[in-house]
Parts: sequence; C-alpha cells; structure tokens
Amino acid sequence: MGETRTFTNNSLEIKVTENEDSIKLTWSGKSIDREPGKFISPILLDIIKRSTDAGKRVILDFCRLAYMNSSTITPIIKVLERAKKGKNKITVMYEKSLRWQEVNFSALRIFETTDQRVEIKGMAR
Amino acid sequence: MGVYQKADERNGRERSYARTRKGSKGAGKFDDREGPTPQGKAGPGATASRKAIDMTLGPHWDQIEEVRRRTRAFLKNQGLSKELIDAVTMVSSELVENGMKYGCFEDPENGLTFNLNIVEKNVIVEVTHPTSPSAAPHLRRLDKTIQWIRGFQDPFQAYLEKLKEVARRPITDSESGLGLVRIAYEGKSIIDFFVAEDNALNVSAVAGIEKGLWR
Repeated sequence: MGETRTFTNNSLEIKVTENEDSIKLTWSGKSIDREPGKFISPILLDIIKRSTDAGKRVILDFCRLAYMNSSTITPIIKVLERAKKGKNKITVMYEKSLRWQEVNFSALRIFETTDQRVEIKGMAR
Repeated sequence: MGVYQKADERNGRERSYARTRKGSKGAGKFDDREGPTPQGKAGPGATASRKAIDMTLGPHWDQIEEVRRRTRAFLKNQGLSKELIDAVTMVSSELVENGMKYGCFEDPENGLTFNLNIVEKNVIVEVTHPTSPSAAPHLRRLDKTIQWIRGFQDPFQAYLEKLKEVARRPITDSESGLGLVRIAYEGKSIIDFFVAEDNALNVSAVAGIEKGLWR
C-alpha cells in the first residue's frame, strides 16, 4: 500500500492512493457544490502532472460516489479530453449496477482510446 | 405571457397537466400535499391523482440538499422505482441549481418556487424564480438549448455532443452547460419554459412514469 492523502470539501471526499504503477482517486459522498471545479480541478491537474512525470496510470474510482451534479462532470471530461489527445493513461471505474452511474459514466466512452490508454470500466458489485 | 412563449406551444403541443400557483412567497416555506390515489401508489395504476411538493426557497445553495431530501422521501412514499427516484431527484436538483444561479433575488420577498407533481402518470418538476431585466441573454440561451435538445431524436446523442463540446473548453472555464441535456437524457424528461407577466421564469421537466426503465 502506497501513500494516501484525503481531500474533503463539504460532502465530497477524494482519497488519493499512490502505488508503484498507479495513482488512484477514490471518490465518495456527494459532489453538490455550486462550482465543484474549484475543488476538483486542482487535484486532478496535480495528479495528472505527477502521473505524467512518473509514467503512472491514473485511476478515477467513482463506485462509491452517491451523487454528482452536472457541474462535477465538467472538470472530469476536460481531463479525459486532454488525456485522449496526450499521453496520459487514465482509467475511469464506476458501479454499473447503479443506473445513474451507468448512464453518466458509460457515456464517457467517447473519450476512450483504442490502445486503452484512456478506458472506462463498469464494475460489478 | 412575456417575451418568451412556452416552447411546447410553439411546437403546437399542449401540456396535459394542470398547474396551480401558491400566492405566498418568501424563503423557507414548505408544503407537501397529497391527493387521493386510486391504488394508494402513484405507479402504473395511478390515474388523475395529484400529489405535490411545494417549496419556496431563498437563494441559498444549501437548501438544494433539502429539495433533494424531500423529493426522494416523497417519491419513495409513492412507491416509485429507485431508478425513477434517482432520476427525478437529479432533475429537481439541476433545475433548482439553475434557478439559484440565474434568478434575481434582490427582493427578499421573491424566492424560488419548487413544485413537484404527479399527474396522469407524469412526474412534473417545476422551478419558478424572478428574473432581472438583464436576463434576456440567459433566456435566449435557455430557449436555444431546449430547441437544440429537441432537434435530436435520441437525447443520448445530444448528451454526447454536449460532452464533446464542454470537454474542449479551457480547463479554467467553470461553466457546465450540461444540466439541461442531462435532464433530457438521464432524466428522460421533456423540458419546457415560459416567462410570466411578472417576469418570473418557469422551467419545467416532465417524465412519464411508465416509460422505458421507470417501472
């Protein structure tokens, strides 16, 4: 188990766990802020930079997220778009038995790359 | 009727549900009403029953969670599916968020009104809030977005297009623009709006209870 840091903002918690080959962000709670990007974007950008420098895959694990407003989707898809055009490796994990997660995160497959550098994975509980 | 007419009226369609207005305004007034139901639930057996949540809110972001909580509890009490409850709660939340972002609340007597009704097998969410004289650009954008969504046969395609568009914007641009199309896609709802004579903007989303995955 690598280094773990936890970021909390109101109802949202993002736990960052760094291992030898990946940096995992585990999202939990609810993301319901007016401008969630103010909290989320700096974390994502920092992780993306570190993963690029270290050649690690970023794993965004949303399985335990209870709810997110549409403003939360914005910083996530911007990072996926940039990863798609760049060299970053990103995996999005979601809970496919939850309809709201399946509906939201399966749509992010438009950002997947054929070489699986960017991949979207529905997980079974 | 103000400058903007109901988008549905322009399309030659009519709303099939009745609407009432509560006269009182001011922050923090809640009224959950329940009408008679033929089978005690609002599911497939429900006909012309009317069940409602009426809330008048101040422009306080924290109150959105109360809208979500009441919506969820109310729909659960009606025996609706978890999928529908999640979807309508999302719709309620997104519409109230938009109302709080774009409403004009300079007069403390003018709050944001949230209504949820179940009428004729439809779940109807309505948010009404005062607008400022400078709201015209927002109203034009709202009208354009709703018409744009309706131009797609499948709201999923509209959602994908919006995802691509938003993803290309600068990382510092905090504008989402995904709320309405998410309501159409994930919420399986028809969105409509009108501006009343007092310049209050009413935005509604109507979802059929029996459609698709709802039951």
